Amino acid sequence: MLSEILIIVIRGIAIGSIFATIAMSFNIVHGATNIFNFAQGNMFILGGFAAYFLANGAGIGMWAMMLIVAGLAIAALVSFQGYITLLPLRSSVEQDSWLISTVSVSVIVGAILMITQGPFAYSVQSIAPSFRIFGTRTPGAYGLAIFAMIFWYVALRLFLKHTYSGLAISALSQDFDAARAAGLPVRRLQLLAFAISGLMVGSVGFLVAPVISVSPDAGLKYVLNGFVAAVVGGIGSNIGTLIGGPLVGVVAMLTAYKVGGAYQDVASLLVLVSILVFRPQGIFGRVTARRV
Amino acid sequence: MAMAPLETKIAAANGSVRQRQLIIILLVAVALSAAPFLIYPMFLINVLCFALFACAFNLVMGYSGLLSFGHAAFFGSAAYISGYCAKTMGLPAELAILVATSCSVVLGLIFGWVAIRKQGIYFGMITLAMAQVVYFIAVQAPFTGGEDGLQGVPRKALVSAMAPMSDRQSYFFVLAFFLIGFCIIYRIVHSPFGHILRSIKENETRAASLGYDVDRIKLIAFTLSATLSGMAGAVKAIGFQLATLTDVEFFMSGEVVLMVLVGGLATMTGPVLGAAIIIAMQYYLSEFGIWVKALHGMIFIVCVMAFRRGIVGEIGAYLSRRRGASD
Repeated sequence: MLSEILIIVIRGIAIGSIFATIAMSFNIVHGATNIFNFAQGNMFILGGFAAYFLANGAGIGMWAMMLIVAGLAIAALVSFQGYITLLPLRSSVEQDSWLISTVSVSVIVGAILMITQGPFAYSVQSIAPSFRIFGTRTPGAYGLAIFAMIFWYVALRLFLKHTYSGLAISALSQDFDAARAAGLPVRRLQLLAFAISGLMVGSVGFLVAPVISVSPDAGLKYVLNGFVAAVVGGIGSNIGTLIGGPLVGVVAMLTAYKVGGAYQDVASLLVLVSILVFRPQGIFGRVTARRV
Repeated sequence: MAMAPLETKIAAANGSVRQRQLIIILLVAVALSAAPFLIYPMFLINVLCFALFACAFNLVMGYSGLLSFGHAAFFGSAAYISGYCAKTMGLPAELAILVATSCSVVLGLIFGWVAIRKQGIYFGMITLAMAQVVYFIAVQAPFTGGEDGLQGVPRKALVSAMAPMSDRQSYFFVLAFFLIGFCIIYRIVHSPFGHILRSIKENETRAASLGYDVDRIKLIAFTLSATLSGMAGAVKAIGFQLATLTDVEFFMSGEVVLMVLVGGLATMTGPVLGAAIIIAMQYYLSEFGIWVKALHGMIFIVCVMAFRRGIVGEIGAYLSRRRGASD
């Protein structure tokens, strides 16, 4: 009984670390541009499709190479999307148009996947061998998911604190106008942030493809859960997502175990609502005074 | 003495404006009553229901600047409730619509209460998340008929003495509700409350500093919009005799955004035109199936990039430019 719960918690943490990585990819774009990229879930699923088409059953060397190819391709796609999304913001007063353009990109990607691949879920063979925890086989991709979360957290931290571009992106998220006045190449940095977020979700989608449902309409689930993870952790706080993601994952898994698989998403949405009602700034978020 | 000619001029101008308005109203009335004899009535019913939905949505998106991604929850849940009331409980259509609309008030208050405290992205995502819960309930609950939905909802209304209405009769039934809803929205937009709403959209901080309780006003607007969206859904379930999962889906929330954008944000007639265009597109392009969805996405992007004011908005801008040039 106890070991069953433990297994569920471990799987929950693994699933949650996927949400956490998506949440971190939201954070970097949001910090640099104030845009919340709704298409991120579809880009994540595209990573899964890349794994299916490029590396299903391939050897480890080929697989690793394809991982890089897929990651870079999706990074390019997301930065192109970012370019389109940012275009009307240059001149317009209405700064909410990005919400519609990112949603429409997600609709287009979903529709194209549906047209070309049909409404099926694809299964991808795992490259990492499954391992045993408390006598139960656990798919290796769960391990990869947790690894990817930690890898991207460390990589982002190093990038944001120790490279010129990273520091510049941090500056953008702190004070956009001051950063522009200081002569930073704002547009280029914003596109870089988009590219990094694409690299993150693309590579993670590729890594965890064996344990997610790789189907055209799965994107919405990951956008929502990633968003919940980001809100629970506090928007903009990467360390918060390390807590928020696994928390959401564990709650979803426990609900699936105790109540039924169909109730997973409802559980994470309830987490969202209760966080918003009781602690709107998230666990690690800072409170900003309301300007009146 | 110099004032007199000016006053008569204004009076004459007012008179001619009123006369022109009267002529337009008469023309519209003739067109609306002739329409079901020229065009397939079921198509018109569909357009009217979505036009009302889009107008109600415009109240939040266009006039209050709140982009909600969860309006399908009100539309769809009301469709289910009115369908259930009419089909299983045998209530007359008017009562079923009334019950469903009152449920939307409650749902709108709950959504608004949670979501209004956040702005921009968060508002959109929270409404979306809550709408997904409603969708989930619609999938799971026993009375919604699962994948099949509620089919063959009877069209027995008090006005038809509980006899089933024909397609044409239902058109006029739906038209009546559409006109009621449209007039309510017109009143809201052109009331002092509507002006406060627009001032909040323009500059929320300033509106708050002038002493308006911004959150409360937004909550009222959101609830009004939810109520009218619910009415649209409830009427649709009766007029179309159908309530299905597509009514509560996320895609439906996106579609209504598209209708408002294509027609024209913050215009009275824009959403009606937008709804007519999108529904006609679905209707005549239905053989292309899922491609229509991709096409929708493209239209979205074009609207956002180049065509910001929508059709009615662009025409209005063109007219006022010409008027400005001729003066």
